[in-house]
Order: sequence, then structure tokens, then C-alpha cells
Amino acid sequence: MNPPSGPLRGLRVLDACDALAVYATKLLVNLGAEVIRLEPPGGDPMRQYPPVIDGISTYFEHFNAGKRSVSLDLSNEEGVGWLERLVASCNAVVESGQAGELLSARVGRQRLCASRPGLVLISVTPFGLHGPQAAQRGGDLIAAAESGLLALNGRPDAPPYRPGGEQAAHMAGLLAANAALLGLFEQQRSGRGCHVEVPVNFAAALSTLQTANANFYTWHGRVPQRRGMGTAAYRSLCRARDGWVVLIALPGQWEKLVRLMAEHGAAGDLVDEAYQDAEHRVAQADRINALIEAFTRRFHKQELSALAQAAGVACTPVNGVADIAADPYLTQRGFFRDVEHPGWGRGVSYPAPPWHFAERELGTREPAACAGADNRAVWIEELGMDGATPAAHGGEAAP
Amino acid sequence: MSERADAWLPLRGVRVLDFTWMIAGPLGTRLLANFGADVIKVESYNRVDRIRETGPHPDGPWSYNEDGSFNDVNLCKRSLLLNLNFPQGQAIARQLAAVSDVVMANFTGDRLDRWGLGFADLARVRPDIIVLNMPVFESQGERRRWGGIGTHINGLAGISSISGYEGDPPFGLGPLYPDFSGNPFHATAAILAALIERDRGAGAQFIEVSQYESTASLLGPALLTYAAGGGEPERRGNHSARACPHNVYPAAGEDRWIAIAVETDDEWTALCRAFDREVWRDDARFARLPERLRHEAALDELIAAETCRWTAPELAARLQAAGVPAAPVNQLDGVLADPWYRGEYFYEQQGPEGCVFTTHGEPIRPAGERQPVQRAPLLGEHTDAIVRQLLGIPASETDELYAGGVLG
Repeated sequence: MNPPSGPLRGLRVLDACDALAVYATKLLVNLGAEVIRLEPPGGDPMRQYPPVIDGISTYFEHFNAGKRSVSLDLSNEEGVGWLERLVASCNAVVESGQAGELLSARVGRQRLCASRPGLVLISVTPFGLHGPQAAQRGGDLIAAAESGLLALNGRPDAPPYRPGGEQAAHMAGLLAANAALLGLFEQQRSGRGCHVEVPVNFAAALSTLQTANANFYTWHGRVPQRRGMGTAAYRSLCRARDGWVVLIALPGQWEKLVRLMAEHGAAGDLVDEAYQDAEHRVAQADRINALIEAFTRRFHKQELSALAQAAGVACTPVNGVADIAADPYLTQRGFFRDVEHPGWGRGVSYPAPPWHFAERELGTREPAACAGADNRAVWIEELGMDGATPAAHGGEAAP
Repeated sequence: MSERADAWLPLRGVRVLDFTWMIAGPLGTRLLANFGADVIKVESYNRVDRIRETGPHPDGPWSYNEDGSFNDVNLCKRSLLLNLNFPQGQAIARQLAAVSDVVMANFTGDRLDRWGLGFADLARVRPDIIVLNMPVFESQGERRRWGGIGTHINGLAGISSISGYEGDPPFGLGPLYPDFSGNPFHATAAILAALIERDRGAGAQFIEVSQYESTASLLGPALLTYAAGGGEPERRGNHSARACPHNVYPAAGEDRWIAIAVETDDEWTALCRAFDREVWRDDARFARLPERLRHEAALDELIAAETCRWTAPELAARLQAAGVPAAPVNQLDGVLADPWYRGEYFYEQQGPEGCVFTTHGEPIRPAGERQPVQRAPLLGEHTDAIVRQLLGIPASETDELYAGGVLG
């Protein structure tokens, strides 16, 4: 493993997250922390999560690339003792799961925190650690539903749907990473530790802040609904020759849009001054949308986006995953990074970290480690545990 | 608010010069402010934050200071009115940068450079400054002036393509999701890490969070699957490849739904028992996850025939008591009616101009408790305090700056 680079180099984080917040520790890897994933004997169940390609879970691989891995059997006292030794070497522990199944719930939070004075402990649970719902179960779908996020998506005549790609869990992971960083900032300054919790349902609720701003209801009794294509006056999705674009004339862009359409002989009567009045445009929304879509249908989505942006009109293609993978702009920006995975036997494009630190390469070019790959290095060579008692790490041979 | 005195404020002593507007930037600086940073939000009458106008607004006389969304994303900040189109305004901004740790902006590409507030300009006045820009595409280069809002980025970054049902147009999401997720919180994570490194002696750092890239990052597994030869993901609505049943089902009432997410065989057994349908458990079609996934449509139909006899909250409570992950598909009124959300998530604040704001909460809970916060600032509320006390500009000069429209 290459020595970690990046702003968090030298800081060690123990990763005891399930799918609810595993994105948090991935972000810490991308910022240069040394992240050690704790797996049960036999390996983390996430290693089987679909899709599995050539025996490798892309889900596990994405979230765990660049982490180290140790295995540990926490069902016996010896294993818990090993955990204490490991935590003593860590700056932070990030854990997620059902409240009763968290690492800190299994071994005792006091005991965990006593292992390392000044420990930063971040606990992510579906509904919080306290309160009436703490014992309830849930994952991404349940948090999206309960928080009000799910109800806002879809057309009125079909069931509402959750955001694709487990976004409630991503929200929780994002906030948990920030919580860990707040804690680490203070720890590095003052030595103080903290215990911070992030309920997934509250994290998901944050993403409704504008569309379902609470004051719509408290002031006006209004309950925002899902609306599919939107209302005629607020439509943004238009057909292109090869798919769809999002085209919105933002404040100050109406005249630019009309000028662009006129250049292509497609503006019709939209050049009339009457249309400069926003209320008139709302009244004529159906007619305007028909003219705009007759225009957008002439172009490919990428071509139209470039044309509109050059004219000062906010327009983007609706990209599929294949479009993103093939986007030369992203390639030129270094959004993908070739990683050699021994299981795939070839370089595969992994998404790079979501930020650019000027003139530095952050994050990892390593794949995910095998379960227990660092058992020998961590347990025996670094922590000096007795390798002859493999009960603690579940008997998995250290390489 | 006196509660703030005892609150966990690890960023106390950190100052952020905040040029961001709308939501994606301000929600990020809100997190920094909620945890103790002195965030100075810069606006001018020439460039008032447009989020002050998007609503909701209370009934009664219209005010810049009473927008529900603005007051939500600007908790705990200070407000400065400074016109950056004047050279004197730009000079004051550089003076502020010199006493700040972080400068953040989310304009299209090179707007800060054109005001003489680019990274090189700021690093000259503050050699360890952290500058973060979050353009839709890039700060330099061909697409530096390309723009868009959260709705565009939902489409651009692929969120719309993996949400919803096969065959439907890519409606995407109701919320401008990128504004609330990767864009603000990738940005703050980068800033916090850079602050840790700065405390160890690192020099100035420029960070760019491209909103396209930052949002596409949230599709990670789908992108890696495609790269590894797994093709494009199907749009599976509420279904999951690793759990079944996993969907929203109709509940009693008009357009009422309940979400059920069975991840384990134990939860499946518990579900059958909770519905008094032990016969499902013994049905070979539903024995284990692979069989249930294969017969998902039939299973969904059987469950829907049961769920529609209950109200969503009743059934969710019954299922949860049996150990089955379930929740009502809440709308805003349902969330606000929940005493746990009202007491532990939402804040209620008396605005100085009369209305009571209900603002969304801080999901980061130190010691498991709600973080206390202060209301968002009035437009220009702290201009005087910032230029006189923080920068020490004498009243004789500030009077002139006000008169000339540089301040206020």
C-alpha cells in the first residue's frame, strides 16, 4: 500500500460502518486518512452485495477501495481486548447500523471510549440512539420514506419513488464524515474527544429543505406533492433527438433563449415584447413549451447543451451512466482513475474523489483489500498481539 | 441564544468569508456556522441572494428578511452588505480575507478572479488561506461560464437516470437534491480537512468542487459497475437487488403509502407473522431472497392487498414492533406532526420582523442532542460591526462608503 497522501495523512480511523454510512469512511480515505475496516470472521456481508462481477461486488469495491482490512471475532472477551488495543491506536471510530447492533452497543460505549482518551466516535443509526424510535429498524428506503424525501418524487398517478443509488444513506455518510472531521479538528487542536450521532432519517430530511420547506405548511397549510413533469409554467425537461435535456430560462435568460431560437428560425411569435412579461409567459406556458420542444427536438442533447450554454442559457443533458462514463469533459478533468484490481486482472475506471485540491492528487489508486488482509501487519507486527491465539481474529490466516 | 454558550462549537475562532448564494454553498457554510465558525455572508443591494425571493414567504408585507428557504440555510451567520463592483468594495473584501481562514464561493467559474479576489490575490493577503470554489463545471477552461441549478445537475450527473421507473421520462427528483447533498457537504468536508492540515503548518490551498463531478460521485457503485462491464443500471423504483419485499405499498386513504424493506430471512418470517400470513412463509416461491426476487411482482401484489387495509402509521408501528423495517411515506404535514421531529429536528424561531420560522434541523447531534442555533441574519445586520470592529475602519470613512453605495 502506498503511504497515504492528503490533508488527513497520519490520522487513523476505524471503520465499523454498514451500508448506512460506509460512504463516510470512503470520503475520509479520499482525504488521506488511514482507514481500517473491521470485518467479522468470514468477511463483511457487504462483500456479497450485488452487482457481483467476476466474483467482485462493485458495491463493496466502490466504498472500500483504499481501506485496510482486519478481521476480529467480537463474540469472545479476547477479541474485545484486541479491539481495545486497536482503538487505542485510532483517532476516530465511525460506526453505523441498527442501534442495537452498533460496535459501541456490542462492546459498550464507555469501554470503547476508555480505550483511547480523546477518541472521536461517530454513530449513525436509522432513527437515532435515543428517543421513541431508536429501536426501530430501517435502511435507505425507510429513511427516504419517513423523512418526507420519497413522497416528492414521481408522477401523481404512480407510486412515489426513492432517489436512485441509495441517496438517504449517502446523505448520512456525508454528514457523518463532516461530523468526524469536526471532531478530528478539535482533537488535533485540544486533545478533546467527542461522541456525535447522525440519524439517517434526519440527514434525509435535510434534502427536503426547499421543495418541502416547513414554512409552506406552517404559514400556508400547503403540502408539496410530487408532480412528475412539473406544471406547465415550471417545466424543465425537454426532448432532444437522442434523449432529454433540462432547459430552464433562469432569471435574466428569457431573452437569450428567444434570441437563440430566433437564430435557428424557431422562435415563432416569442420575439413579441409581450412575452418579456413573466406573468404573460405563465399564462402562455403550454404554447411556449410546445415551441421550445419543437426547437430542442432538432438537436442531440450534448450539442444542444453546448449551444445553449454558449448563448448564456442554462441547459444540460440528462445523462445516463454510459454518457457519464464516456464524457470527454470528465476524462479531461481526471474524474476517473484507473485502478488495477487483481480479481479483474485489468485496470478499471474508478470514480476519483469529488474535489480537486490544486496541484495535488488526493485519494487512492488501490482496490479494496481482501478480508483480513492486514491481520498480520496490524495485530501482530504493529500491536504485538499473540498470533498463536487466532480465536480473536476468527482464525483467518494472516498473509 | 444562551444555549449556544454551552454548545459544542469546535470551529470557534475560525472565520469564513462567504460569497456563496442560493442553496448549495450556503447550506455548506451553515454547517460551519452551526458548529462555531464566524461566517460572514457577503451580499449587496446590487446582488441580493436570490434565495430571498424564491419563497415561501409569510402573508403580509413582503420582506427580504422573511423568506423561509433563506432563513433555513443561513442560520448562525453574520450579514455584510458590500458592493464588489467598486474597487473600494474589492479592497474591503481583501481586508476581510486577510483576517479569515476560509473563503468560499459558488459563482460560475471565474467570477472571483474578475473581482480581483482570485486565489492568487487572496493568498497574497493571507498566506495560509483556504479558498473553495464550487462552479457547476469548472473555474477555468471552456466551461467556466456554464451554469445551472440543482434541477439541471440532477439530470447532468445521472441522478435522474437511475431514479424512477423504466419507461417513464427521467422525471428525476422533486427536490433540487444536489444542492442538499454532495455539493455542500463534499465542500465542507474538504474545507475541514484543509483546516486540519493548515493547523499543522500547511500553506494556502485552493479547492474546487465541481458540482457536476461532486454529484456524479454519488452514483459511485453504478459508475464502477458500468466500468467493470456490468452495463447501465435499470431504473427499479423502490426495488432493491439485495432485499425483497422492498417497495412502497398502498395504505388506507387517498395517495397514502407505506414503505417496507425486508433485508433478512428473519425479517421476512416476521412480516408473514405480522400479517397473519404464515402461508407465505411456507410458499416455495418466497423461501429465500433469490426466490423472492424472482417472484417480486406476485409478492408485491399479495402484500399490497394487505397493506391497503391499514393506515400507514398504524401498520408501520405494527410491523416495526414485529421487527420488520417499515415507515409511512410521510409528506411534509406528516413529518411536522411527529413530536420527535418537532422536538428534535425542526427549530422554531421568532423572526425580528414578526413571523415565526420553522427551520430544518442539524442532523449532526453532539452527545446525541440537538445542536442549538441562532436565527439567520437580517440583510446587512452586521455591516457596521464587521467594518468598524473587525476591520477598524473609522466612522468618517464608513460614512463615505455608505454614501457611495460601497457598503449597505
